[in-house]
Amino acid sequence: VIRADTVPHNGDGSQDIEAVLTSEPVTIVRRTQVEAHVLPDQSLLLFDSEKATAIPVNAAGRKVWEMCDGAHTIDQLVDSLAALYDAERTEIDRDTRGFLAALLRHGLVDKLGSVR
Amino acid sequence: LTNSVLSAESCRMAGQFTEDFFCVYSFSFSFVTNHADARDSFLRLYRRFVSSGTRGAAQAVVEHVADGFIWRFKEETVATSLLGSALLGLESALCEAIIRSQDRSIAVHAATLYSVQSAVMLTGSSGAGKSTLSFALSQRGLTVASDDVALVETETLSVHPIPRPFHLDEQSLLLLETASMQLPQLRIRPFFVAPFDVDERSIPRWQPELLIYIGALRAASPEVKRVSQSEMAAYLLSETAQGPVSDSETVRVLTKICSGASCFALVPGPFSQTVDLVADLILGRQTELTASRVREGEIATLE
Repeated sequence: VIRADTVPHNGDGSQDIEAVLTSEPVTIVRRTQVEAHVLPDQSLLLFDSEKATAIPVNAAGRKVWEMCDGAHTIDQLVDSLAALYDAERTEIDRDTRGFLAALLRHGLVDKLGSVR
Repeated sequence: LTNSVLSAESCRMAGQFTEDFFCVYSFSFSFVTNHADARDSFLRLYRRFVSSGTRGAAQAVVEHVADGFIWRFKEETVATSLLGSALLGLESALCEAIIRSQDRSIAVHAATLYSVQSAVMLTGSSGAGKSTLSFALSQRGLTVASDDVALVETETLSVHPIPRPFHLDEQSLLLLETASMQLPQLRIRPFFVAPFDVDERSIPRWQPELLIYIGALRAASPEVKRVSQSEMAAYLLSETAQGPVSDSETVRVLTKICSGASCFALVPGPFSQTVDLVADLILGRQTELTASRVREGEIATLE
């Protein structure tokens, strides 16, 4: 459902990724140096001006990106997507966390930590 | 011959050199040679850019000497036994100079072709097959403006293809011959085939409506798949040279270019099948565009 296409690999971030892939209720926030260009077909191009890395994201990924505002937990984000897409919640949950893990790995977002 | 650059005046006085002036996207240069085929080749390559003489223009020289050819441009002086090699070497240096002279354009590694009603850009890394495919598509009625690089103006988004001789190696020539494609009859070896040699039609100034990325992998049968505009923007970015324009502005320009286009990725297969597939995509798309314009026209009339 959610794809970050042709993602070039930079950085490690394995601990963050591990955290995101678990069900821990963390919030994810977009990094300020990342420029987001929305295209007419609703896909999104994320460009990290510091690393000069561009990452294309599909329309579903764009919705995830837009909700990475620090105000939504991952669970809330998955709930919102589950209301939009005709897919199993477990599948959406897995895809969302995988997508966020990719964003974290490339330094496009930060994890704010547990809100518990 | 020990002079690094022959002055235009001395060339004229020698009575055997000619000098022609060109201005390619604001980059002015003169071409000086004492070989008729060399002059003819450059006049055909840069025919749209012939200008009157300009003071201070850079000078490019191809000189026929007893044991071969010498080309000179700026600080470079290269001797070679083949005229084709001299022309290709000098043209490559000129192309780089044209790109470096731009301060408000970005250089995209892409071929630019025109059908009757639309522009198409083929992008992909070196060796992906842009030139061979472009040449083959020229045999299917498309006009090739450049098989290699285009400048995109940051303010207007205008696309300016830089004409280059087709980059056809032995493998390319074999593929074209096997597919029964007609190569122009030229005396010069290695081949120096300008786009004008295969199609004399003028080049329109249209924005690309179709963008095709040629992948590096090959398959048993060719395949085209639609890709998102952002994916295409990322592909174009990976094929864009760094220059005076900032990375952020480059991304903005490329996303704008992709915004008005249908985007596809090509996995090439056997050559003839690949040409058929891409020609069908372009010409089918052209039919679709024509129908769409007619519908828009009807709606406009009704309103």
